[in-house]
Order: sequence, then structure tokens, then C-alpha cells
Amino acid sequence: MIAARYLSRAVSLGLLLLGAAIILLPFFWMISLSLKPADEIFQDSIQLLPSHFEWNNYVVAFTKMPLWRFLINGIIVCCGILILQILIAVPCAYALTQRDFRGKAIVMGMVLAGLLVPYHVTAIPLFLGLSQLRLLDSYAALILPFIASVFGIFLFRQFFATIPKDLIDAARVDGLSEMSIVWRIAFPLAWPAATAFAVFSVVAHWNDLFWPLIAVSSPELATPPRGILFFRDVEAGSSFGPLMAATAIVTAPLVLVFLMAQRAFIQGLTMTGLKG
Amino acid sequence: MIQLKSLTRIFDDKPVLDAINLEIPEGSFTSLLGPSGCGKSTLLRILAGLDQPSAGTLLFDGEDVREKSATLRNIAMVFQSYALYPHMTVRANIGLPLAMRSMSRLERLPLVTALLPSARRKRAANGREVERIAAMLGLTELLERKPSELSGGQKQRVAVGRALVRDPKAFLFDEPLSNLDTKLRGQMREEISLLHKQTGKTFIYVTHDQTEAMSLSDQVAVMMEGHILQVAPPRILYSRPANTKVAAFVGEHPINLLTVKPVGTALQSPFGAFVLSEAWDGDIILGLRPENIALVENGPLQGRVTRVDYLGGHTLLDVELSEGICLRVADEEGPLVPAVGNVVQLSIAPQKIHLFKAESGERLPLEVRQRGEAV
Ligand SMILES: Nc1ncnc2c1ncn2[C@@H]1O[C@H](COP(=O)(O)OP(=O)(O)OP(=O)(O)O)[C@@H](O)[C@H]1O
Ligand SMILES: [Mg+2]
Repeated sequence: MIAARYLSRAVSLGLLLLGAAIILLPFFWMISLSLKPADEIFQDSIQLLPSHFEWNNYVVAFTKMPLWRFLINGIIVCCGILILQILIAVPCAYALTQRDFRGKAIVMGMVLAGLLVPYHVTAIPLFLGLSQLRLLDSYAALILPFIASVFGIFLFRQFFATIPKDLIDAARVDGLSEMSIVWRIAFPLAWPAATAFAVFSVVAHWNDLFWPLIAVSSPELATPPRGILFFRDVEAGSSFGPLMAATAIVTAPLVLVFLMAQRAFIQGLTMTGLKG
Repeated sequence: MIQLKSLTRIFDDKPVLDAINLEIPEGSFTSLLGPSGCGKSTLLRILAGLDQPSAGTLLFDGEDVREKSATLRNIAMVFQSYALYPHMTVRANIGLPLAMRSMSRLERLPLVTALLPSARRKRAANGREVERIAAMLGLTELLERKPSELSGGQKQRVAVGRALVRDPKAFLFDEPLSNLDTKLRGQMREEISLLHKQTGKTFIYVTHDQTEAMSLSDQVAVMMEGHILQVAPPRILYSRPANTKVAAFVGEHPINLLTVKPVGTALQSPFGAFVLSEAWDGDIILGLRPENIALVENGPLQGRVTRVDYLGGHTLLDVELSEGICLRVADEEGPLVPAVGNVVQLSIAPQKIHLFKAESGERLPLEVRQRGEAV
């Protein structure tokens, strides 16, 4: 009996380790490459570890290209998107759960339908619209198309649906306006959902290459992934070391954010109900 | 004074409140008493401005308030679930309604509060008020706790404190004690009664527990299936119920009801032979409360005990008088300890018999005497 239990534990642990290894391998490879001297990168034999650490790749990454600029652009764009998304999604989700109005079911249906539309589909109309507004090649072009997030509305709606109606009514009796209820009561209660949403949003837009490639052309507006592309252009693919170093630097903030928000993130996704 | 005039609320074509008429005098303690699902909470929510009536009028001091929002009506409400804000401390919970009312939108902004002198002054005054209320309710030690760290009774107190803090026109309570244990319930009942005397405000109290309604109220409105059946002070409610439904609902044990047919003024019933003060043509329902029947050594009635429930302090008996006629009797602990199968003697006080019209269930305003008694 006990042996069987250990065996099943060992098997599941082994499978998990294997999965983790498969997922981590590219990251490991990226860091390994970013530390290898140029001649070692193109060797025929596969060598997991560099023969010696070539820190110079990182120096080159920061000096050859305005990597700082790319990172700051990434922060501006991601924060801008996230703040505006929350400013829009939270009141919408509140209205969809705690208020009654005609056409509520239809609006909710449209939100759900919106979840099914990949954003690449809307890229060309958005591009044309922004070009009409003369907003292309600006921060606005990077931020505005994403501020209304159906996913955000959906996630917050799921969370707000667990808030007892009495709590909202108590706030109304206590003299809070609907907007004060949204920001003073509903939003603070939904912080796990907010964290989960923030992680999703930041990861998606930090890593996004498709839209920055379409919407901006000036190098000083490039987001990190767009910026990394400049490495290849300039160096014609010959110096992969600095490219990988830049990639590692660009990935690091995301890993840090996720590690910090991990618990809240998982809580936000499993949606444990509210305790009064 | 709060007046409800043929107030109706319809949910999905079903009238949950059906033409409610009620007057609540200023400063009174009014209870809404009724079984679960009769529309008590719906009525309270309409009073608070959280729901709109489908028809009818709602007047506060003669002014129609149907268009006024909950905020403008300035009514405080204590919810059955307490509805404390889970992410705020007790201090913030009690202080929030005060801040929302006394401070402008600008003054409430976090940074501005620290900078603006008027905001600082108001905040300090609000803080003092919160502490005064907390001291009054014995919450001073708990001010920094979150609601999840409080017991049921403490939560209830915080909910009362939050209602009390802003000097409202009226207090609404929606079954505030139903989540508490019996002992705490008694204690909180006294505190609420004290609070009513101290503040002198209008209290409207919803409950399905008649002990609460009877012990606290100046007047009780008995509700059933969206209708108000009777509005009366507790004593009248018990001694002169307006119809059979009220008679059956009010009282510790269910009243005995029996339909009989009088002949002129003579009333022959299994409870005995009685004389009516006036002749009545038509069937009559006799109502007799179990506590108004006594077990005696020598009584006019005799029956066999079919069930005994000892309830501590008194005993509830089912006594079969004759085939199919069963009488519920609440017996104070006396020298006789009956057992199932015993034959017991009963006596009835005729002046305690309630009379109702059989077809409508309404109270019949007639007196009853034992036959043979002198007029
Ligand atoms: N929003 C609503 N939509 C439809 N029906 C409702 C709604 N709110 C209440 N009802 C119905 O109205 C009736 C009365 O409800 P209400 O909550 O007023 O009862 P109550 O007397 O407070 O009962 P309890 O003692 O259980 O709290 C119930 O039958 C309920 O199903
Ligand atoms: Mg209720």
C-alpha cells in the first residue's frame, strides 16, 4: 500500500519535473547563449554551458542600441494600457453585475462574443482608423487600441458577481454614489482579480510584437520586442550573443512581476468567494 | 411620520406587496412581523430607497419621496447579513457614512485630506464622533480590526454603529438578531430598546420572531403574503387579533380553532355551552389559546391525553375531547403531571375565547359567556 503511494507520488513528480524542464529549456538556452562568446554560439556540437562567461554581450546590448529606451517605452505602454483598461473595465463589470438596465443580457453576450475575436482580426481597421486620426507612430497608437478589454470586463464581472447584494445596498444607504461604490467598495474587494488581470495584461502587451510592428516605425517609440528586432537588422544576424542578452534583460521584468504577484494571481483565477 | 399608501410591488407579475397601507409615527418603534417570504425585506428596501414601488405612494412628513435616492432620504439600515465592508477596519466601516455626508468630493481625496485645513478639521471631528459611538457600543478595543476578525454579536454592533453615526431620519433593521444565539439575542434586544429610548428616532424593525416584535415595539404590523393583516400595539395584537391568521401567528403556541354553528345566541360546542352577547347568523370560528386552558381536578371538560411535550417551565399537551376533536393545552407546571393515555379535566375561561366569522376569518365583535351565568 505505502509503496504504491510512493510510486504514484514519484511518477507524478517525475512528470511534473519533465514538464518543467521542457518549459524551462528555452529560457536556459537563452541565458546560456547570452553568456557564450561569439565563436562558441555557432559550434556544431551542442554545449549546454558556455566555456567561459562572456559578460561583454550584456554591455554590448546596452551600448549598441538604446535598450533603456525600449524598456522605458515598454513600461509606459504597459502601464498606460493597464491603467486605462482598469478604468474602463471595472465600472463596466460593476454595471453588468450590480445594476439593472435594459439590454443587459445583450451587452453581456457581446462581451462574451468579444472574447472570441482574436485581435489580429481588427488590426487593419484599427490601423486605418488611427491613420485617419493621424495618430500612427505615437504612444497613443500603441495604447489606445487596447484600452477596452473584454477579457478584463469578463474577469471583473465574475468577481463582482460574488459580492453580496446587501453590501452594495449598504453602501448606497451610507451615501456612496455609484462611482464611489465602484472604487471604494467593489474594486478593493476585487484585488485578486485585479492582480491576475494585471499579470495577463502586462505579459501580453510587454511581449507583443505584432501591433508595435504595425503601429510605430520610429526606433525611439519601439517597445522591447520591437527593439530586439533592431539588433537583428543592424547586425544582420551575426551577433547572437548581444541579441540573447537583450532578450534576457527584456524577459526579466516579467518574471519578477509574476513571482511577486504569484499568490494573488492564482487566487484571482480560482476566485475564492468573499468572506464578510 | 412615514406613510405608505396602497403601496404595491410586483415581481414577475406576482404582487409581493399588495396595496400596503401603513402609518409610522415619528419616534415610534414599529415592527413588521411575518413569516419568511411575506415581503418584509422588500418593504424595507422600498422605504430605504433601494427599490421602487410598482404603484402607490410613500410619504415622509407628507412629502412624496419616491423619486429620492437612498442617499437623499437619509435613512440608516442594518442588514440581516450586517453587510460590513470586508476590506475596511471597524473604524473605517463606522466612519465611511460620516465622511460621505460631511465632506465634499474634493475633501475626500486621500492627498487633499492631508493638505486642506477644512478637510483636516472635518476628519478630526468625524474621528471623534466614531470614537464616541464606538465607546457607546463597547467597540473601542475593536476599532482596528477587520470584520472577518469579529464575532457575530460584535459585527452586529458595528452594523448598528454604522447606522447610528450619522443622525438619520429613521433606522431600519432587517432581522438583525437572527444570526445570534438565544442569549446574545436577548442582550442585543435590550440594547436596541435602550438605543431607541436614547435616540428617540423612528425605528422600523423587521422580524419573523414574535418575541422580538412583542417585547420591543410600540406597534406591530403583521404581514402575510404581501398584505398587512393588522397594525396594533403588542397587547391588542395578542388579546384582540383581527382575524384567524393573526390569531394563529401571534402567540407562543398555535391557537385552537374550531368551527361551530350558533342557534340565535346559544352556542353549543365541544368546548362547552356558551351564550353570545348578540345573536349571530352564520358559522363562527372559536379561537382558544392553549395557555388559556387549565388542567384542573374538577372541570367541565374531560379528555384523554394523546401527546405530551415538556418544554421547561410548562408542558404542551394534546387532549382528545371526543372522536376527532383535539385540544392543544399549555399547562403551567402544576401538581398534576399528566402522561399519555391519562384522562384529565380541563377548565376554560369563556372571556378568553376569540370569535371569528367563518367565511372571512375576521374578528366578530361579540362577547361570550358560559351558559347559565347571570347576565
Ligand atoms: N428581486 C426579486 N425578484 C423577484 N422576486 C423577488 C425579488 N426579491 C424578492 N422577491 C420575492 O418576493 C418575496 C418576498 O421576499 P422578501 O425578501 O421581501 O421576503 P421576507 O419577508 O423578507 O422573507 P425573509 O423573512 O425570508 O427574509 C419572495 O417570494 C421573493 O421570492
Ligand atoms: Mg428578509
